[in-house]
Amino acid sequence: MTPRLQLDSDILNRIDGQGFLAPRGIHDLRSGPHSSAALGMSRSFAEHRPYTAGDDVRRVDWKVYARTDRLHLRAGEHESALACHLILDSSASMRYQGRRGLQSKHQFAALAIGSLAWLAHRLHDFWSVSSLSGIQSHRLPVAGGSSHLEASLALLGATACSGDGFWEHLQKESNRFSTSAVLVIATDCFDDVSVIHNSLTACATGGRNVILLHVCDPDELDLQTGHHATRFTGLETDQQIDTDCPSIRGAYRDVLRDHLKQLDTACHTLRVQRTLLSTNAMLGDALAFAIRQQRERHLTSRSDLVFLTDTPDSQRPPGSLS
Amino acid sequence: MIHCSLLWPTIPSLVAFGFTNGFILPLVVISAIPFLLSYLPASRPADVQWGPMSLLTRAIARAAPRIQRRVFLLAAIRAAMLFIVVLAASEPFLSPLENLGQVAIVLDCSYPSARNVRGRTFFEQSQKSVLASIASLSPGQQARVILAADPPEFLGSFSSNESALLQKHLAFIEPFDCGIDHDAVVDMIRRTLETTIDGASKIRPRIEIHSPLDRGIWKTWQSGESENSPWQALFTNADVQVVGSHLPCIPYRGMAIEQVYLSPDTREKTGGNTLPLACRIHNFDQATAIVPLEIVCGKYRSQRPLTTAAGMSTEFALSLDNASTEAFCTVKLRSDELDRDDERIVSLHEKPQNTVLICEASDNDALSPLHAALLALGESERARFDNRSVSFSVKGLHMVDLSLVLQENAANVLRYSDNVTQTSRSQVADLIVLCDGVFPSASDREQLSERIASGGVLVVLGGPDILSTRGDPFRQWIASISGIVFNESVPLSAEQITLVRTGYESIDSSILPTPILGPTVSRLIRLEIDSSWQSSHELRELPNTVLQSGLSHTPLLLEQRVGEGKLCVLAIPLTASAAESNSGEDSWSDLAAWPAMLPLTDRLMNRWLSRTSPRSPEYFSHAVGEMIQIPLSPGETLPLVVTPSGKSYPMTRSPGGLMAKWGPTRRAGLYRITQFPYSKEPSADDTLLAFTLNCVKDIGTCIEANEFPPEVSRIEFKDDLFLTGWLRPLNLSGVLLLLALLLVVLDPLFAHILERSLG
Repeated sequence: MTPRLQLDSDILNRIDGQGFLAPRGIHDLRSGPHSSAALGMSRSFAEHRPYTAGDDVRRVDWKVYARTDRLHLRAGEHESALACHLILDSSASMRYQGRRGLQSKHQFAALAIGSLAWLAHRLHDFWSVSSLSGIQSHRLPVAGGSSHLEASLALLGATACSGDGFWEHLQKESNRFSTSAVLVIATDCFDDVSVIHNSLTACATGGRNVILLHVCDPDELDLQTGHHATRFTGLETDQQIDTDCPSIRGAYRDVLRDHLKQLDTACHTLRVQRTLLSTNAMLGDALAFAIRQQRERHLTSRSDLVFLTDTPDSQRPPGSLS
Repeated sequence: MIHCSLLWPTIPSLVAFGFTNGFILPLVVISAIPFLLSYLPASRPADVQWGPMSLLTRAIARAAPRIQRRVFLLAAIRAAMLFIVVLAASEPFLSPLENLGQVAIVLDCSYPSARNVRGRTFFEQSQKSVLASIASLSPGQQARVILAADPPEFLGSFSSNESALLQKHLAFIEPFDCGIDHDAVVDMIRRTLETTIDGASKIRPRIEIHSPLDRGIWKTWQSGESENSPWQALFTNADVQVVGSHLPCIPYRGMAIEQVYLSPDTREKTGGNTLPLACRIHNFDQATAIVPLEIVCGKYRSQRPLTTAAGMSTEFALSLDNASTEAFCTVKLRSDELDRDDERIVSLHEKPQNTVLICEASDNDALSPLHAALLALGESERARFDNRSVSFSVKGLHMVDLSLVLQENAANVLRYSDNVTQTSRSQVADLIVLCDGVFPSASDREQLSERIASGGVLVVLGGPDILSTRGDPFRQWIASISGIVFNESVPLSAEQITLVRTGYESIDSSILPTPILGPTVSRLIRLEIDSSWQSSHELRELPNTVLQSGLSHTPLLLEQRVGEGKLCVLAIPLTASAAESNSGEDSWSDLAAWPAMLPLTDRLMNRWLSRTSPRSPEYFSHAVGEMIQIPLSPGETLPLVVTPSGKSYPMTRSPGGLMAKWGPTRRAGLYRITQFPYSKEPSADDTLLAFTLNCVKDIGTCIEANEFPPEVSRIEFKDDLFLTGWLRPLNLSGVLLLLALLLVVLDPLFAHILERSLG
């Protein structure tokens, strides 16, 4: 029996009633940010796009098909604004769970994605779920409804961590995402910043609103392993490093700080919202904060880096904004 | 404390830097331990699976230089700590030496310097160090070279460019066969250094003593250090530096006197007061050595060097002049190389040897019991003697084993039959025994009278023959000179004389409920004192009649002083054998068959020869592992060992012999072995003690030497192998220890600072 991701009611209660704002000001046409978006019932035609596998056949413009003998979907502004692509990093590095983490990064990220899917379902939005790693990908098409939620939770519950190259895979998959959609990416962002930058560039193309949920274990932030002499074995590589943790902790923090700065620069350039989620944080609060930030960013067109965690200030990476 | 420089041969001209405990210095290699430990994995690393390996790799690359710097610094600090601790333990000292001050170099030329180890002598090594010292002198500076010996010799003054000349001088010098007269050496140093040694000059002179280090020279140099000795100024106003020859040392095991004794072979060859001694010394070392043997005999003192071969015993013949007046002499093996002197005391006391002349009537070669007993007591060389026990048998009646301690210088027993005057030796005999049946002629009686008057002792043994008509002139002669009258033989058929009893004799067996076993005396001569003679002579009180008849109170033994001598008459014939006594009715006594015969003879001899006086002390040269032979009086006595400190320890019987035990002692000296009678009652000198003979063989056996503590004849110089006040250097140990303590305190602080520098 396929394991199903179990959602946390506390988290759901915390984010209930909130929702992402769709790009391009579609909210102006609605009475509220969570106004219903009837599937395929757009009032202003925006563009056609080729049909791809997984698209809803009800959105096929049959007139165009009659003229061109090709399947095209009729996409309206309202439709694209309501699409939400939820992407989960399932690479091997997400398997890490430190001493202080309540669960592994992957479990934490999957719960976040699942909660957002529930939120989309709650708001009658459409969403897709993708679990990507370098060697595998599992995805559900953009859809809505309870059955889709169940399928999404099943997918998230069944996904295992393996391989690497998440960002390369995401870059390849980026053309599959709807324009003017909201992309929520839950990952640990420990790859090379240039690779992340390239991938985010591809994701942000076409007016997509990208929200980066940066999932970290607190031990990864300050190199706390509980040991002095430690043999580190890479989760995504076979590399082994013997070192004395206290001796390199300061240097590690410096390197991490540089990495985050570069990451912030890339996100700022691409207007990507990065929210740092620590696995020992209250996920409900973190998601609510991220959603609120997205709305504020959307309204003010600002790209602020949001750091959301219950980690004490003293344990946060130096230089990070709060 | 001696501060000796092991940094041979260079002596810095400005500063003398050395180590008191230089042998600790090799331990500085432990300073490398912190560096070695830094390269060893501290512990088994914990395995952690990690995601951001790239960040980790970059962090390590960034931190590596600081990590290496931190590890090196911490290791260096800890290595410095260890180094300083080792350095402090070796007690370095820094002694400023005035370059322009006067320099005296003392070269040890005493006999131990000739010690040859693997083809090199200490003296050669010292010569090299002296040459090196001369070469290191400042220009214009001269060193006075003194050869330390007995007496010392001033070789001359040499500057640094005259080392070749000094080398030529030294080439003709060899170690002398003598020790060092240290006081003379000090005087010479004072003279050569003129006034500077007395503190008149502000520049302190420097004195270098070049001597082998691995021998006890410091013990002898130390002897001069006292408050009022000239050494004091030397130590106070000069910087004394000891430069030790540093030859590869071999374990030194020393040497010891094995035996010192009067040489019997050469005694007759020497005349006058010269006393020949023989001494055997064992050199345990693997090197030949020249050692002085010192002989002290009263005021007489002589010393001569002896060359001992390596690893073997060497015997030396010595002669001791003017030793006749001394009872003993001391032979000392004095050597600086020995931890302590080996000392022996040799008895020179020659007791007068008495001559006993036994005149027996028998013409055959058979010895009478008395004669046999005398021989047994006096001649230990006889085959029937087993060292100190004699098996004395009397014709099968009783076989008695007696264990006796024989006297040294026992009487010389001469035997003559019939006429005592046939030999001129009768005139020199101390004791003349006339057995029953021997009647001297008139001329003999005249000579005997002269002999008694001049100090001789005449013993007459009464028997059946003396009452015969042949003996009339003899009896009359006895009565005329002593008043002792032989009356008649008294039968003692009902009363037996019991001799053997603890302490005193009692003939009155009827008093005793159970007669003690003893000899049977059936007859004796009744002795009386002629009253007319008694009235006409000033008689002393008659001696005690120790043996008495029970009923008639007839004396058995009478002694009468005649002139300088003494006439003794015994009413029992000791010459009668047991067989004879049993052969017929004329048997008088079977005393000779009883165990009491031999000790009785011994005691009678002692009495007649005036040996009852307290013994003169006898000295023994005792070495560990050597048997001690001690003369003990027969009978129950309580031997005591009296130590030089005056304490006495009783000797108890043990399976190996008599043994005395006391705690470990290191005191050398005379350990006297004395004996006291068990009886607490005082006994008069003229009381003849008969004795119970304990036939246990261990009476009078020797003390086992291993019962003595090995240190008995050793002297240990405790805490005085070192001198104080020689060199007054700046001891750096305290400063170094403080520095090490500071580093110990600061080490965690450094570690913390460096840790923080790593973030």
